[in-house]
Amino acid sequence: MSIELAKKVAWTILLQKGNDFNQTRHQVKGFYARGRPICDKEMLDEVKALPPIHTMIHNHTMIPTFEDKFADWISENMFNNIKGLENYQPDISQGATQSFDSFYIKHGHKKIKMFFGEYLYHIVVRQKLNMPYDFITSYDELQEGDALVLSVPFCDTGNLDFDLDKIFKHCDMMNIPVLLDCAYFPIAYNIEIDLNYECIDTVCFSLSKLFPIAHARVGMRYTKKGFEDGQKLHSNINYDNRISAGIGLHFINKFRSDYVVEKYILAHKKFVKAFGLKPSNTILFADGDDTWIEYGRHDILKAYGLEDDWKQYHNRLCFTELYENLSIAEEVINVYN
Amino acid sequence: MSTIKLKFKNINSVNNKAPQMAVHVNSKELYKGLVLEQHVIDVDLQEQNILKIYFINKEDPDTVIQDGKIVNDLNFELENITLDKHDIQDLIWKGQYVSKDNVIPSCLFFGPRGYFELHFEYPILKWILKTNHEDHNDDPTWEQDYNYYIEACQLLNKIQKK
Repeated sequence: MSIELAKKVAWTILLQKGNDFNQTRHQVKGFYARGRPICDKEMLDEVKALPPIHTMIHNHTMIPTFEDKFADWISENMFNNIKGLENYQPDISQGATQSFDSFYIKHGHKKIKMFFGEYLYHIVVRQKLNMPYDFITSYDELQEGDALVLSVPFCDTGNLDFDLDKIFKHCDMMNIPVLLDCAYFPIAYNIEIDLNYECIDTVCFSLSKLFPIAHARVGMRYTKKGFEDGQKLHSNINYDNRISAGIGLHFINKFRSDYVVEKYILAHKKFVKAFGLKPSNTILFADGDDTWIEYGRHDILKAYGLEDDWKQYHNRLCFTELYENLSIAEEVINVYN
Repeated sequence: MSTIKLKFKNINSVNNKAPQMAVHVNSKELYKGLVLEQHVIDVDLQEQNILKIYFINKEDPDTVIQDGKIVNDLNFELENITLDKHDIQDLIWKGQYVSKDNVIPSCLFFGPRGYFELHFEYPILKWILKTNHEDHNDDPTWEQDYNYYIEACQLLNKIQKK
């Protein structure tokens, strides 16, 4: 009944948007599959209220202002705790992605390791560039000469799926640099991260899953103090993208880093219960059992040529469409419950 | 009340005489007159329906023959049928053309005096989905999705009336 209810909600929302039978049928399968930010009225209003481009592009203090403000903004999150960020230096990043690329360059001679279910970008890039990578199921498979990419919360579930302390201690011991992808951190709750480990090389955040500004590619990278690379060079000479910094600054001035979680956490719990899903610490997501296979990311994996591995992935379901159509989604659920 | 939208093309006159038709659904005449490029007709449908489009003014002299070849002819073609906003697409070829001497399956050309006939069911969408699956055996979930669609439409109507 639960998946039935989820389908009914999806059909009703898509038809209410003005789609016809065929359009709705086509979109239903992707309804819960993607992972994109919520475009609600309050946040879209702020997109419309962004400062004019000329005020951003000619503002020489835009980048340092954004970089300075970001650490406090992310640390003041009332649902999550991140310790030790003050020991790292910030650079604005084009989404989290630029930080990934910088990490690949820095550790070009190493084999990138990741847990099954990690962000598909890493896999696709490594495959396309014919660069070494491998999946692991346990941290003790990591050895010298590896570099670890790890999303926290984890990309495949939105949860803190691993014992970070054990992983970092092992990586410290084996001299394995770690990239911590915290893109989901501001859309999650009950996440504790301690950055006080030698192995943590890069920590990156993104506003792309939090605010409806994904195409502005606003992110922040943290590296150990004193580290220099191309990304840091441009930060040092104030030659970064001031438009994305201005957009990011506007949003972090308007909304707390826990704004989305606070606003939608009750709805998240309601949908998880109504659909009989396993909750995720990331409020955009929930985890479905095998009956949900066709509504998870199977098609996306297929598009990336990763269909052979799809059984290794969770059926991660995304609630963004539900939050954007909250009243009708709740109304449908109330009718059937 | 439902609507039938008929589109015609290649409407050819002869000696200032334009083709005329009569549109019947379930033996009830809904339109009689000139064939235009498009007609939108209101109709009450039943579970089983028969659409007939009669070519009513074709006469022998309307086909002009010179040296054994037709050089001018009163004729037209049916291009498309939309029933209640649903373009029936390829199902238009389920129709047949009935003339005095012949029954031509899958014929949309109105040449000889006669009529085009199409049997269809109501609800239209259900008939389209069912018939397409029967023909191609490639849409096993059509009924399940149709039921989601109907249920969602009913629910939206209920919500909107609140």
